[in-house]
Amino acid sequence: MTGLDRLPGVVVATLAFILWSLAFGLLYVAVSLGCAWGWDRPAWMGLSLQRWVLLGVWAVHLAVLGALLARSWRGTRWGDAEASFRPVLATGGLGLALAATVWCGLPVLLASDCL
Amino acid sequence: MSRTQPGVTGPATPPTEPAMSPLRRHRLLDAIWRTPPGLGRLGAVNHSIVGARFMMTAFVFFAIGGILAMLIRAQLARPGHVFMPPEQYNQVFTMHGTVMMFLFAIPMFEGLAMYLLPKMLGARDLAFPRLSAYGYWCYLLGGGFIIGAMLAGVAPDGGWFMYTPLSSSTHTPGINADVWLLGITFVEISAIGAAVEITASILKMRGAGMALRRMPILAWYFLVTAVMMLVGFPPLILGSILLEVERAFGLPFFDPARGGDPLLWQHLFWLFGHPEVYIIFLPAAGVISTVLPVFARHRLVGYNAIVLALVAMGFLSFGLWVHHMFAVGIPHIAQGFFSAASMAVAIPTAVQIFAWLATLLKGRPRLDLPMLYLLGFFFIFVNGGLTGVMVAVVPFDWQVHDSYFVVAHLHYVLVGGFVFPLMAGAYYWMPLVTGRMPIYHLGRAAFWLIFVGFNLTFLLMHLTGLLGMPRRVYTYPAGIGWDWLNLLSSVGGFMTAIGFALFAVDMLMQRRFGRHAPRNPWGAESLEWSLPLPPPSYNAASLPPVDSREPLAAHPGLGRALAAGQHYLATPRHGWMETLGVEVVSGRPDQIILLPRPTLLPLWTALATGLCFLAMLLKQYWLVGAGAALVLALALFWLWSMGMREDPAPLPIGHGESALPHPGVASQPGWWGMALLLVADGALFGSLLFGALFLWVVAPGWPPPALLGFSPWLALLALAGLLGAPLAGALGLAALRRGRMGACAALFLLGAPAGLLGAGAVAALPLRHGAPPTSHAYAAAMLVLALYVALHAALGAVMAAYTAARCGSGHVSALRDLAPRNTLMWQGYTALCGLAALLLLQFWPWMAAP
Repeated sequence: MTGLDRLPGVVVATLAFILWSLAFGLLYVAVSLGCAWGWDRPAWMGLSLQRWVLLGVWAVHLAVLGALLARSWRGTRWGDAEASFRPVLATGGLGLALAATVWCGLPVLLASDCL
Repeated sequence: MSRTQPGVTGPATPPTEPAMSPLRRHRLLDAIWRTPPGLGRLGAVNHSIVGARFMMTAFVFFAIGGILAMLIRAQLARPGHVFMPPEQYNQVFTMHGTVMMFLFAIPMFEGLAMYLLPKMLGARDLAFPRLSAYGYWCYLLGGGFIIGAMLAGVAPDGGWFMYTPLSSSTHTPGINADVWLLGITFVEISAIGAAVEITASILKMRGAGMALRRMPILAWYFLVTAVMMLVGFPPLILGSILLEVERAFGLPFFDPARGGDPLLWQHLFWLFGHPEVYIIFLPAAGVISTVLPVFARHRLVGYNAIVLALVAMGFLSFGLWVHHMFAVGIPHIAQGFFSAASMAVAIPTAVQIFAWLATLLKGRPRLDLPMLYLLGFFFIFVNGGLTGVMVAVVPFDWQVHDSYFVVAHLHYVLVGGFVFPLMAGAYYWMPLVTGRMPIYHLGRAAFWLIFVGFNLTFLLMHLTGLLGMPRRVYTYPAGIGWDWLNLLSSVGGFMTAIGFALFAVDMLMQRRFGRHAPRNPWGAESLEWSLPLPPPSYNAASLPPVDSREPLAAHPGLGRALAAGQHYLATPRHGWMETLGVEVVSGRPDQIILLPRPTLLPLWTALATGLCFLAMLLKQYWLVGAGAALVLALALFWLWSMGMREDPAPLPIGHGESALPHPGVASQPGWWGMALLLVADGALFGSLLFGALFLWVVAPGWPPPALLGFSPWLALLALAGLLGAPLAGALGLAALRRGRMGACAALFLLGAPAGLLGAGAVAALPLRHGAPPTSHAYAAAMLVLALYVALHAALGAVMAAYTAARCGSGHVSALRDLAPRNTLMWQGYTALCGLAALLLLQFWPWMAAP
């Protein structure tokens, strides 16, 4: 049993969305700082430093959430409604937070830097 | 019982009276729990009384807000109408929004939660009854403050969002804006108190065996909402403080000519304002999740998925605030993040909608009165949600921004999402409150008037907006296609108002003429319906064991068993007001919580708090200091009256189990109260850091080189004081654990001067450059940051001295260690904030220096 499996489901879901919040907040901060400090000029492989930073922030959070989800999924035992409470909260929370991080980070691939 | 809880001087096993009749048990319990009549009612702390007061006061404010809405519609009914002058119109629409958002919606939730939670969770009261009462008085006084200003003709007039620079002293001289800033902050104290109260109560005060997975779904909604309030309200409190300080003393946080930025206000306001929408919606959605299954005659489908959706909404709703600012020039990529989050939040909302539809589909719905209002909710809220997704799309938002389309959208969401479910809830729970059943004819007429009138008003308003009518204009010219739409909207508005008046009449009629309700009249499965109607002052004669999510379905005879004293805490002892405390996750009983008696202290403390706010409004700052000292003295007196002077022993609680009274338990509500208060405090400090960093990034010339400097001695003194206080506290707590009471008292006493040293040194830091804080937003922000830490360090010093005194008076022991632990928590928090502030005050200027 891993540390993750010992945590109550609602705590795991909360941690998952704290990771989403961190990703969301850091992406916003990175855009704000990058635009203020001129990181939007092309730097490497045709992409700006800002774009690399944003991609890095996004990818790290996706990787962490993905790894946690995989670990949680392996330990999941479903049961009746009450017994499924923890897995739904824990595994479902990690899955939802991962999906939300993918969705909310998509502008990193689509939008212009500081327009 | 005297003010001080007596020590456990009686036998470890109190006399039990297995043969006690239900009537005798009722008399004994009621003698302990009832609130004295007459003037004694002013000292009421019972959750039923305080909760009902909150709801009734909120409904009065709702009526006031409704009258203001009718004045707006009267003015706009015809083009070029001169029903009222523009200055008055500005006050009326500002007050309408302010009253509805701050004085109706949130307090109505607080009242509902306070009234229902103990009954639903199987407890006898909330965790901090005196805090509830204090919150109510703050709410009443703060609301009265704002309404009084309106009657005096000096109401706020800059919109319920108070945007700068319109609300700055240059453009809004006089006290109108100050009334809003001070009045709302006063009311927000009540909201933070209620959030702490509700969260701690849900976590710690439930029936034995009510694990988190078995909690009533409404408790989950209330829990998520209360935690959102703890994090969501502090940004507005901070923004209000900063704007009031700018208006009163000229510190230029929002003045671009002196390094400030008006957009900082918008960020702080909407950091509160968008979660606020969900803070309003979620409790109402909880009402739906509770009421709908009863009338669908099928248990709620997707309980687990709904709880997950709530957690998701609690977080996602904090990532939407910039969608109120799409038109202010934020980079497209950042707008993209917020646009995506605004769309994403529709998913967990939809999870609930589909769960409700599935419940209806699997059940055999009956169209009783509460169900009618729920169907009205479905129609209106789903449409409001869909227009919400439309305005989440940036290019569409640019087209309809500041138009009546947005007014229509927000009313569909707020009235559909809050008022309709609440009315369903009112009809559903009124038998619990009054012991009488609804009278159906009036309720149905009220529903149809409100439903048709609302849609006539606001469905057409979408068109008015798409045709280009801007918000907040007091009149408009004829012949541009807005005339008939506005006229019909006004007709619809008055129809809605008549419907609400009928609803109020119906409630009064039900209370007077409704037939007596039997126990559990709707065939519900949650615990509040196991109580006699209306419930007695102590709720249940014995507290229920809980082994499923639908306790009344599993045990239909539970109500009678509770009244017969067959379960927990059935035997009154020592005149104590007892209820059960449980482990947070498992719901296993872990303590007996002893609650305080009625007292006038909350009223006096609220009056002293009100004196501070009134003195600020009148700019009598000497009186603010006197009021604050009075509040502190009353708070210390309040706290001193709690606790025990002897270590408690485990006492029997029923079912062959025993538990310690709460003063002897580590995880007692008082610890949770302090921890939750610091969560809110941390959100305020985080908002302050956000504000400073925001200005650093967007305002030109930040930080100004002339104001930079490094004061190593002051920084070292500050560090010594801020770190010394918790160090002394930690050593004091360690001494307490070893039974060395004298050393504990001395070490905590040592923490007092250390805290004062830290406070003084931190407060002196921003003064090192000699520039007044009015010269630049940087100097102003650094001063506020330093004063925040200094104030906390000074309060920590008072708490340290108080703890030392408690050690000396016998209120503290190795077992009864709440005061030392809470003081240490405060000191540790202050030290962390102090380190962050020192980084900004000292090392950041050093790094930023050329």
